[in-house]
Amino acid sequence: MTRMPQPPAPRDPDARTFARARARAGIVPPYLLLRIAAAEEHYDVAADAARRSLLRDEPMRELRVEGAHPGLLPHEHTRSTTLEGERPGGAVAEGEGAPGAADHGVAAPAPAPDRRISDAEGAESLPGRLVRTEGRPPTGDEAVDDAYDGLGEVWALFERVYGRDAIDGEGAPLEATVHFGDRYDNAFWDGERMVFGDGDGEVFRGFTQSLSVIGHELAHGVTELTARLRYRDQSGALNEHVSDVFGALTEQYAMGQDADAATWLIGEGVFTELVQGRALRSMLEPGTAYDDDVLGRDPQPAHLRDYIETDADNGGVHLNSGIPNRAFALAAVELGGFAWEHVGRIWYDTLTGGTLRPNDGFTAFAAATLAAARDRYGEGSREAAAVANGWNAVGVEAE
Amino acid sequence: MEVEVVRSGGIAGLRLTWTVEVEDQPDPEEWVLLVERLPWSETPPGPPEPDRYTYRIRCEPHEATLAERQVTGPWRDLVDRVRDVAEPERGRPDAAGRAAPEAENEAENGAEAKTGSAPENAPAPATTDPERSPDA
Ligand SMILES: [Zn+2]
Repeated sequence: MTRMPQPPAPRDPDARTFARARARAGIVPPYLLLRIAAAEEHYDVAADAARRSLLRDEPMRELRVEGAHPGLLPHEHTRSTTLEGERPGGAVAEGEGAPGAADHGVAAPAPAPDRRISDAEGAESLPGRLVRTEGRPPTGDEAVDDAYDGLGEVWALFERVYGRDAIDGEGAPLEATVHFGDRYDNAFWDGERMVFGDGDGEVFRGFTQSLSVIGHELAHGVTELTARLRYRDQSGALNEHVSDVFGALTEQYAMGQDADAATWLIGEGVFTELVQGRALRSMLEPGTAYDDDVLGRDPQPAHLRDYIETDADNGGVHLNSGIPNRAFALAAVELGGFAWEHVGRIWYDTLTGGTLRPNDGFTAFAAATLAAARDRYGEGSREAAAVANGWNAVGVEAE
Repeated sequence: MEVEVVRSGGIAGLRLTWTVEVEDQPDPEEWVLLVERLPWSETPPGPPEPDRYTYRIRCEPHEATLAERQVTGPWRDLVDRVRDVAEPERGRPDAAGRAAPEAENEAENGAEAKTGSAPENAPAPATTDPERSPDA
């Protein structure tokens, strides 16, 4: 399908080691991970993530509590925590800015994801054969189980942090199809489900092992039901950007990474070892994710002056998303701490706040994020300043 | 006669171009038949689906842009055939040329976009690399 004319590119051990080291550098207090892991019976998805994170980076984790944002701690102010700490009449206090968690009554049953994974078995027909539903044990098919686990992580981010139960906010099933097509080099959102190919084995080794890719696809569903950003030109690049934001945040939330520890990469692990590259995109440093003999160099612009006008790719939606991506990542790094708690919240407010129009471009979107930051954190807040600085750094006027 | 298939989009945003010189094929008359059978003028633009591919298929004087979902029947036959006999060329947003009718979208979206001037502190300078600048 995508056989390469050139011989395989030489491997770049340095780049890979770097990427791995970054991925392993989860900086979250171990006590917190232990606490989450211990609470398994109440919220097994987050607990699984915490336990895996504990296993994954035990040797490399450092204690850096002072780096944490003074607001929420990860997985803390959630409905499940509330249940766990439930005393008659005494709900656990909500941190400032956790409206989602506060929206739920203490007595209501805990929301849980409703995942449905189907197998296209190499064909290009959807949905395929249903192979794993919620609560069923692993199938042993890596793509099926990775998709199932990944959807759980994305669901946890949206429900636990933003109070949004699934794509529609009402607990609708999360549906995915894996093994789509023959060596199919892609993952997409078809309006109803996430669809993942296996990759050709030469450039791509499949898409379900990347949490940021799974988060990216699910977020397309959220955008479709909220801001409805038109998938073309600047509004399309913003649609892509929003998916990258929640894809990256899914990974950070699952691994307990703060903005400094995060890789800010989208699709880490989707390339084979033959490719000289870390990921599909870098939100923090657009244009640096790969530089490969076969693929060429990551073409993403990092500043508005380098905006790419093209007809292809619906007007370069996967290229120009680099510009808002960098604005977001810079704001998150400036604030430090857990990005899903501040910038992520501001972006979620923007997406769901009802002020965006489908054709909005970068300027309108930037202004909407700044307004959302001021609404939530105050006119002169450091959050609003960081958002303004982020847009400023990429050449977009936020007001 | 040349048949060109450009596939863009996808979550990776990578562009691939396949080009077939029909005269160089062992069965040129079959290619001609296939191309003439294509419903070139009956391809209303489909709504774009996030991260799906877009195909631009060209064989002078014909050109059609299709969403992946629309690449069925004879279109699919052609695309499969092209991919069977040609190796894809990657990247180079400028190499495959740029079709015209897109200007209206700029106005719609505010057109803050600029291209050209050299970046000062972008991590990877765009304008020094032809792959990164379609207008270079
Ligand atoms: Zn996308």
